[in-house]
Parts: sequence; C-alpha cells; structure tokens
Amino acid sequence: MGKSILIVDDSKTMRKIITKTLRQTGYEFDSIAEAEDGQQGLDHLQKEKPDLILCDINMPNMDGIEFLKQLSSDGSLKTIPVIMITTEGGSDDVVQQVNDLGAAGTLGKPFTADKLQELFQRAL
Amino acid sequence: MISEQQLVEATQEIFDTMIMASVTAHPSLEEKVTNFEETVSSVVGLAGDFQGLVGVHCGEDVARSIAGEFLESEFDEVNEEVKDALCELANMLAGSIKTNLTQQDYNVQISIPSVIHGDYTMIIYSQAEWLMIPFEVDSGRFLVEVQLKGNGSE
Repeated sequence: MGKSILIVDDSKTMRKIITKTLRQTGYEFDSIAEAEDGQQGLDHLQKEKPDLILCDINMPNMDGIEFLKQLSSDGSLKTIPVIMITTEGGSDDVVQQVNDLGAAGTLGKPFTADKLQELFQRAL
Repeated sequence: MISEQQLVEATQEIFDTMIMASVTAHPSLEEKVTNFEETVSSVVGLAGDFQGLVGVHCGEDVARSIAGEFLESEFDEVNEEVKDALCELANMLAGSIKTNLTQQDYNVQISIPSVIHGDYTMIIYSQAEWLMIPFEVDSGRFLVEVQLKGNGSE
C-alpha cells in the first residue's frame, strides 16, 4: 500500500521539487497533498491524516515552528511524523528547536533523493 | 569569509542535486555589475555580524530556462512561477552562505527572498566586500553575487 504525504511549503517551486524527489526515492505514494503555510496544513489535517508530513520552516502566516507546536499539542495529530525542511541545514539551534518539538528529522536544502529516503526509513 | 570556490561549490551543488543540470563557473568579475536591463534579480538579505546580501541576476531568457528546469515546465514570460523559482535559488544559496559563516563562528540571519524584474541599478552596500561570479547554463549566463559588510563586531 502506498504512503500518503502532506507537503507544507509556501514556495510552489519547492513543493514541485519535493514531489519530484519523493518519486525518486522508490517509495509508492497514494497521495501527495500540498499546503502553502502552517494554517493551510492544519486545515488539511482536519480532513485527512497523512502517513508523513514534510514542512518548511520559514513561511509567512504560520511558520513551520508554530505548525509543529500546534501538532505536538494535539493528541490526534502528534503521532504523525514530521520532517522539517530548512535552508539552514547546519544550524544547531534550529535542529535542536525542532527536535525538542518532536520532529522526526530535518532536511537541509539542497537535498538528494538518497537523503530523503534515509529520513523516510527512519520516520516511517 | 566566503571564497570564490565556496560560492562556486554552493551554486553547483544546488544545480547538481535540485535541478540535475550542469552549470559552469567562470572567473569572478573584477568590476561589479550594478546596471541591469531586462533582468530578473532575486535577493536575500543577511543580518547579524554582517550586513549583506546574496543575489542571483539572470536575463529574462535564462530566468525562464532555469525556472523551467526547476519546475519541469516551459515559460513564455517572466511570471510569478519564474520569480518564485529564482527566489528559491537565492534562498538555497543564502542558506549555504549562512551555514558557511556559522561554521566560522559568525552569527548570521537571512531574510525571506525578494525579486526585482526589469531595468534597474542596484547599489546596496557601497563599502562592502563583494564577489560576483558568472555561471553558464545551456540558455546563457547568469551572475551570483555576495556582498558582506562587517558591522564592527565580527
């Protein structure tokens, strides 16, 4: 059975690149849904709960940190693994903050399909 | 702080991994380009121990081509999708620069990217150290620029 994924990123370019890279990992996907910010992501989760969420950190309206806080405080959502995507891959502060909030991993941009696959195996 | 080689490697890594396209670097410019015509520039601001920016400057044809490779589409004009792709390119480059400076124990924050399109003059930090490198893709050349100006604490 294929996986269902939610991508939360304000950049259409990144959502497209992430989708393209997901299809290179060798996993099968039943659905890949998209949201443009944290609030849209939360709205989507009211209708459908994916197997995994990929979420950007820097977004307008509701950013990835706030989105992760909302998830971790909701009993029905906090078990969904979330991989946070950041341009600040080397920043220990950001990694520590999202780890403390329960993220399943961080993915620094630019990234390869192998790196995404490795995080998938760990998270799912 | 940021060497020519580091900027070349950061740019090539993005093209190799995210676009799967080759890009060739040329030697850095000796004279800074500040006047642009029919150009798309995406810029990310740097703050903290430095003021500065990371910029990508493309002619319209190259901008449409790079966005087309990012998004696996063809674009007849410089629309919002083309601008978004160029912003993402500058954003990833700024992330690499930030990571590099952080590893040198500097404190740096990066802004959300912005884009300028048309004919313009861009002089942001007149006293800054700068590096401007031309890169070649199939559709032509584009410039990658870094400007860094210390704020006295670095």
